[in-house]
Amino acid sequence: MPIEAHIVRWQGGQSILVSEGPDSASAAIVVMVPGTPQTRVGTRRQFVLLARRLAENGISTVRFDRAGFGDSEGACLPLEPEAADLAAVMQHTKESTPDGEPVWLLGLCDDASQAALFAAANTPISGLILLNPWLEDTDNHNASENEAQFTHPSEGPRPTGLLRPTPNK
Amino acid sequence: MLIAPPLAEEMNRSRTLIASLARDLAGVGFETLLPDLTGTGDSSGLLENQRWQHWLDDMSFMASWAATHCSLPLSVLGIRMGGLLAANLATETPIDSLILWHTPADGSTWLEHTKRQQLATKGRALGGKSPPGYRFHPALETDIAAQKLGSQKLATEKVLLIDRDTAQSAAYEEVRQVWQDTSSVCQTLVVSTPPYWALEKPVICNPLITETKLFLTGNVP
Repeated sequence: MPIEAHIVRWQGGQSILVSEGPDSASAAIVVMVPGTPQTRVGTRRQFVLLARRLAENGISTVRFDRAGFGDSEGACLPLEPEAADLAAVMQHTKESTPDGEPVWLLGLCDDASQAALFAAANTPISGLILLNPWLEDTDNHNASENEAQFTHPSEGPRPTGLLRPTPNK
Repeated sequence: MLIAPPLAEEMNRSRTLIASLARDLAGVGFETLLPDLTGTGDSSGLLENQRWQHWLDDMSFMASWAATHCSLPLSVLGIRMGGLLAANLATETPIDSLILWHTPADGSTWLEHTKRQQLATKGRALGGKSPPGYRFHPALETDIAAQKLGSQKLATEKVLLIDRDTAQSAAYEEVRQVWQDTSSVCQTLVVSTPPYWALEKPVICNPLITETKLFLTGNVP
């Protein structure tokens, strides 16, 4: 099962990206966004184990640490559609993936929200897998002037609004 | 600098600090090797199949690899349980500097604490559906519980033991008494830091990085 590490740079830092996949041609590639403050291996290595299971089933994966976490440089980025680190990883992945191979995006918790925001604002991707996405808590808008508040569904009041991009000020 | 990382979730939670230390060390001319031990991180294998000896073999391999790829003296930093692994390595492999961060003097204390925490997490989980904990092989648990800092003499020139408070001072002093016979420098130091290995959000402990760099670059604190 081939495994490779690459360095991906964006304005403000760089990340180590780990890609792995099946021995033969890959049916799709999934970019996995770990959910801060986790690193690319995931809690209890769940992302590593998932990546290896997917490779056994003919699917490639890309894992990386978000800016400011794990091996990645830079400061923690706010939750916004641009996400410079994710954008750089997605660009690198698309450039290194054969034409026609579907590119999926998988995110956990806050990074599920991040994946959805990114997908809504950028060039089309083949699919989104959102694990336990955080939802906008519309009751809590006053807590910050500049960013929407995201609350875990199991904590605090039940969100009444749907996930939507941070409003531009 | 070869790093023996912490075990289980402590490794994930320390990773940002360790990567930050590596970048700082690069600035003063040190190369850093940060291995994921077999069955952990990006490495192959499953955690539940690992034994203490497998990880000692990993560390020995990395020390040999370092010797063939770099002509500089080898330093080893062991963090938390990684400190006990590093001390094991240092009994046979000649090392210039050995630094231990917040290493339990007794492996059984760490094991009991870690198991208690996993039980507590299970109790808190919604609907009784908890994520599985880090599963250790029973033989690995036995090995971890048997690890005692200072049980063997070292083949190491300089040693520094850092803790965050004085809770282990008496134990560390006993270790220092054993190790000082074979090392030209053997010091203990208290550096006030948060328990970075247990905190969900990463913490960069600058005083810890500074003291480590000072020791490595020859300005003994």
